[in-house]
Amino acid sequence: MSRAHLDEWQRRSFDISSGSCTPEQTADAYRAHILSIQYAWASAELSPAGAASLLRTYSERYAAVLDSDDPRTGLNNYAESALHLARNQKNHSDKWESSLTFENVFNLPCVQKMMQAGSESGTLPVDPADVNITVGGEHGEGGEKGSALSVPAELKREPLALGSSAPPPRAEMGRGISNLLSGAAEWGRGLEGAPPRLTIAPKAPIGSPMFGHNYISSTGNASVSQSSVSCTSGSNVHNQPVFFSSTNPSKRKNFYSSGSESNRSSFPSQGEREPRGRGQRGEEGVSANFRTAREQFIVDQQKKHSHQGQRGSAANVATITKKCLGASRSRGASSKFVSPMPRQEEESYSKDNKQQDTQPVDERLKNFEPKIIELIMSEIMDHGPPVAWDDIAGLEFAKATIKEIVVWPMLRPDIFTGLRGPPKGILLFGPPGTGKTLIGKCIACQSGATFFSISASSLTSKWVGEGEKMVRALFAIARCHQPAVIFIDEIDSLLSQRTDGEHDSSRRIKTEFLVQLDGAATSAEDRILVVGATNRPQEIDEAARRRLAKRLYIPLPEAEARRQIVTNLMSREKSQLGADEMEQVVQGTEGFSGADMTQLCREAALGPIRSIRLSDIATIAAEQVRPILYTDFQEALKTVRPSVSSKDLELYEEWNKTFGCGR
Amino acid sequence: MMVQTLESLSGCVRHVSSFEESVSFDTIRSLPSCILRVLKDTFQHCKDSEVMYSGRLSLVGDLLQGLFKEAYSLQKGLMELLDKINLEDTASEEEVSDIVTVIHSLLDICSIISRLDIALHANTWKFIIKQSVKYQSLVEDRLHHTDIAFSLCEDLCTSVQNCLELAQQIQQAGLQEVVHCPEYKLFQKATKMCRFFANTLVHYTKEFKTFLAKSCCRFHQLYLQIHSKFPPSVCALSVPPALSEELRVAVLVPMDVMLTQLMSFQPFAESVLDPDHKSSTELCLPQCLLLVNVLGKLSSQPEEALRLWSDGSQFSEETPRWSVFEAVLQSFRQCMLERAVPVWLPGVMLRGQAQGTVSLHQHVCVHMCACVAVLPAQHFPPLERSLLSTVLQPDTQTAVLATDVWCFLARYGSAELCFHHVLLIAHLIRSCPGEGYQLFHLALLLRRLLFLMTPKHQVEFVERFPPSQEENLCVWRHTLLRCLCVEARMQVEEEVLARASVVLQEWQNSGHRLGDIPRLNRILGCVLLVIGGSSLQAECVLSSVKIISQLWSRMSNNQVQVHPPLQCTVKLLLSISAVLIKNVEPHVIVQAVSCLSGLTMQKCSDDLLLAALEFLASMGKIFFPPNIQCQVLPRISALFNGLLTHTSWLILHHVLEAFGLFAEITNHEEVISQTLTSEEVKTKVLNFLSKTVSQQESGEVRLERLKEWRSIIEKHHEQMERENSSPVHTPLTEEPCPKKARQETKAEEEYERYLQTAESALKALQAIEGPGHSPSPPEWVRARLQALQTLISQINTTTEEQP
Repeated sequence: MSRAHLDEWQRRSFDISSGSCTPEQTADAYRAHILSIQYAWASAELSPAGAASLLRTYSERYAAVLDSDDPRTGLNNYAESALHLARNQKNHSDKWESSLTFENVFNLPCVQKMMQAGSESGTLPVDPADVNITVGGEHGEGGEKGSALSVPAELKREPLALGSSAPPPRAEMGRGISNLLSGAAEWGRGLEGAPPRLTIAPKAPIGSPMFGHNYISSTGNASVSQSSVSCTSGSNVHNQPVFFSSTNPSKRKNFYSSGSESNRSSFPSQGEREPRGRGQRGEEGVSANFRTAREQFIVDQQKKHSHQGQRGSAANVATITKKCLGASRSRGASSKFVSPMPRQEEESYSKDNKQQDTQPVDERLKNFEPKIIELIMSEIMDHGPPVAWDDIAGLEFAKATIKEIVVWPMLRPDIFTGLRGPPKGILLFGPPGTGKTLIGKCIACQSGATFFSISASSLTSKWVGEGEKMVRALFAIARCHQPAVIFIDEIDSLLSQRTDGEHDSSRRIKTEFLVQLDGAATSAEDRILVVGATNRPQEIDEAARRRLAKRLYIPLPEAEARRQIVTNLMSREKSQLGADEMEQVVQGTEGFSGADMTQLCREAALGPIRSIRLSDIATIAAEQVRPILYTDFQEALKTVRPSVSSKDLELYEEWNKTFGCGR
Repeated sequence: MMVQTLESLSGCVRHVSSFEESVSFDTIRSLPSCILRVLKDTFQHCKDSEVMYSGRLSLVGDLLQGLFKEAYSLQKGLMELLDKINLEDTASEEEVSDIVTVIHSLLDICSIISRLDIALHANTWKFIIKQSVKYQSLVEDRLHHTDIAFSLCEDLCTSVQNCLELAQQIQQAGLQEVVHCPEYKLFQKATKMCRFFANTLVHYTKEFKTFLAKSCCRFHQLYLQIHSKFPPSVCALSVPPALSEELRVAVLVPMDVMLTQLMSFQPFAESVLDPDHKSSTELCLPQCLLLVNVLGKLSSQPEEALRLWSDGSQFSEETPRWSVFEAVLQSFRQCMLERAVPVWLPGVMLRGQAQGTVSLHQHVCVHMCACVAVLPAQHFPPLERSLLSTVLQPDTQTAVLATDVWCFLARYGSAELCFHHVLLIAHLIRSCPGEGYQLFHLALLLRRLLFLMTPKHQVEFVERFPPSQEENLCVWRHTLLRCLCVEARMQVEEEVLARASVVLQEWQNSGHRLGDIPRLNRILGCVLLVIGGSSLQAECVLSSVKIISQLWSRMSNNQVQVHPPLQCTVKLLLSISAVLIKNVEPHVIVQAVSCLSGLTMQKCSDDLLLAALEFLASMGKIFFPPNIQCQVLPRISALFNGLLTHTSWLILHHVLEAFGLFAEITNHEEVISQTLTSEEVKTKVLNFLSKTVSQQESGEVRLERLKEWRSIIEKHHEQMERENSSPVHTPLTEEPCPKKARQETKAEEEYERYLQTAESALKALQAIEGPGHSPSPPEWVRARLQALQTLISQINTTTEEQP
């Protein structure tokens, strides 16, 4: 029996923590949690206090989902649906007046019932006999103890003393009434004061007076349209009414003055002050419609490495616009469990992005088969260790160029507009094993973009028509995850020259690809970068070559880069390689690619092992293996040969001269 | 007799045909009544034939068939004849009463032939309604409308049931090509009948609404019954979805029209909103959906109807009725099973996206919010009152629903309204005695509304309820500091911490007495609130750490185990330490851990356990200096180990969660391996970490379990409500009743109860043994009775010894 309860509970909590739930599902799961807790309470498996504590925890998490306006994590009080149902009707909310006062509320039967409930279930009363027990006996003074035993008079006084610490309820009632009076006065003043206060809001467009929205917005919804201009492009405002009460001038004010100093004073964003990025949800919840690449970058950074990403956030938050009352601050998890929970959330976050979209939540993905989407989603490379520019040895020119044309535009799209706009595609070509894939990965990491790594073979399918669909789905998904980097290894096999003899289906894939890359289907705003890598640049179709505007030659590593590679690899091993010996190695590996260098080091590292006699190999201790010496490299150099021939290199050089964008 | 009947029939038929040309009703006055009497008897005979002839039915089968055919054509002829006749408005009294008689006897016939012949049944009904409408002005106040309405409802119900059974047969047959099978033809025919009845009912109610006051209860019942037969009702039969859809269109659409017609009719509203209306469990969901449907229609209704539904009964002489808001919330509360299952309802279609399914909660919430959004000001008070009374009832999920609606209201209404509500609720919390579910629900509402207030009002709120005053602490204990703006938050932080140091100082000065512990606990609850807030200034952290360090040093496990107030203190200390774990000094941690490990965990209250879990989980974050490792680490693993075998499933889950958190981040991996000593615990943890959930139980088993579950929770709620209403103390009396005294009364109650049971059982035994019954009881009865006697004497001696 209890097994079934545990299973249900766990199934739900795993669902919640997986992050693959829509907010609706999360809210439903929390509600089911609440019901389970009630059951446990009702069946005496949980004490009232325990139930209260758990209910508080889960109701707070539930509230965080329900009151947040972030479309991904919050429900915005179901405003969208409710206001949709109530469209085209008059809104009277400005005239609502509470009929309850501090006085008459106590006449309601439900409140009377509550007052009768008595204090029996209340705070744990101290047994009068124990009142004088000294807490922490071993530290206590003996005198105290004595008095507890001997003086009964004090016992009698005790209840009184207790009573005086909490004021007598009668006085409280009296205060309630006086409160009522002042409350009424306050109320009146509030009404009078309201219209002038509107003018305090400095940037409020005139024409949306507090009580005027009934005739302004004929839809009767909370009038929104004018006000959201400040943070959205305003294009789809009418279709997606932002929900907030228009009758509240200060709510508005906050809204209008987004990003200005008053924002900070009137509306503390959690993220601003949160030391450990607990406010991420709040930050992410800011604007559904638009997000600068920098914001996106920060958010993604935080997702990826929650410990490093905070540097930029504090400065940045001020620029984030808040959209509606209150909900812009997410309350995150409960206060009680706050310390452990956010961490878990952050960690599950990286998984979120993968899983969240396995079900096509985005309507743009609605027309695709879920299977295809799933397949492509599994190609997203959000995992794996982050790669920094310093991890790539040499290739200074390529790195600088990429930073300039890819990373910066993604971070500052506002500067890189018009002619400075980033290219839609770049092509990395060069001999195999020179770090093209690494660069692709690095681009994604450093620009905070979603990284799709696609091999050409996964796009080509034996089923006719399947391939084009895949390409289309790939780009559609990338559009939902902007900014995105699509990395295509061995792009030559996908975009080879279109010839007469080739198979019809592969031709269609190519066409689809070219159209998606830069054609009628794409818009200028899309922030999708296609990075192709190939070692056969000459085979690429000329139309594709045109679209991959930046073509960068990734040459064999130079002497300096080779040294860096060897140093890097050897630093993890036990080795004794002098400076001049290193120089020898570097000299001797002219024409080696990065992969060849790695191979060489592997070979050399086997040297010490080879020197061990076969009979000893079973018994020798790990420390006893001798370090790697120069001689090992010499031996290795005999067997490891460069994988790229000079003839091949000439070909690349030639192609680079013709089409490349390098020096 | 057969022959006679037949002869008289044919005579009648001949009569009719000879009078074919007549137009005056007066001339054939006597004819219809006698024909109808004969017809009625004939049909009755045919209907009863199976019983009457039993084995010999086959012998007379042909004759009966002929008889039926004859009667059939006779009735048809009569109806055609009557159709032709036209009565003037000035018709005589007799004519009118004759027509009424005709209609009523046809009604009788209807109930007889309902199972015999579908076509005749339908035609008869058609005729009845047609005639009633035709002579509406003449007969409307003479007809037995209640009878007509009831039998229409009855017929509709049976035919829907019929349809569903057919559909179920199709489902069970598992046919692939449903459309071509003969059952499907039957089903379609039956569906047609359903549609006919439903439409007839709509037509009829439209024409004779004013006379149907007494039938409204039945209409209400009918609506519920019909809806309970369709998904998402839990007790709906499982039928192919396509067929269900077909039937739904045929029946539910007219039902909806009928609802619209009846909405402005007061008796109907009274029936639906009757506070004493207790529908059976399977009708709870339909009732809830009916009310939600009403909510959706309200805005298009005239002002009068809106007042009828939303305001509730105003005066004591009116039939008592709820406000529709209260009724919705109450009926939602009744739908415990549907919420647990959960059932899915069609969501709102937005922006051309496909319609999704939503939970009952969301469904009700969205429709209620939509209704709130267009609510005129004069109907606001009943809404407000309904919401408050729902917040104060024991079912938390329902209270959450009311809170959701309230939050919508707060965001949609003016800021002043929100502020007023917050003040009101805080005031209620402050004057609420005890810590019942009411307080919890109010606190939930307060937290969410605080969040929605404007910063200015938040500051004002802090001024109105300053945390520096002792009596306001109970309000602040339930808030969330993160909800407040910086200004208000700072003020609360300062005041609470200042207050806390004062209270602590006073406690220390007065010699650490246990009597003052509750006061200390109150302020500690607020300290927890402060440090639970997001951004803490360094000095806040420092002073809180100082406070808890001082307190931890006074906590010793043997005292804590005995005194509940101290357990409460330890609980709060644990929660606070969990948040501040990185700032707490090592020796304090050692104190805390050793205090914790000294407690017998299985005996502690579970809220202490939960706080302990928070604390344990938080310890993953710190690295213990080597000198205290040997003191702390074994204790942590022992604590976890003990907790991982906890029997309560809910606690166990939280233990697993806490252990998972700890294990994930800790630097002391050895603790993990030392904790997972037994194989059983290890599999538990591994299963949890790999998120494996064992096999899902079957749907029926689950439903049964949930039904049991519902009855347990409902009983619990009732009990809680009863506890409330029995006025043990009026709130103004001082001094809580001391605990020991209460225990005694409880013991007395127990004695009383057991003795009563024993007495009644013995009396029953005596009754069986008495002279009137079986003379010789079995042998073993005597022996058992003797054993009972010795037991009683034993009990007597022990009770005598004790005092």
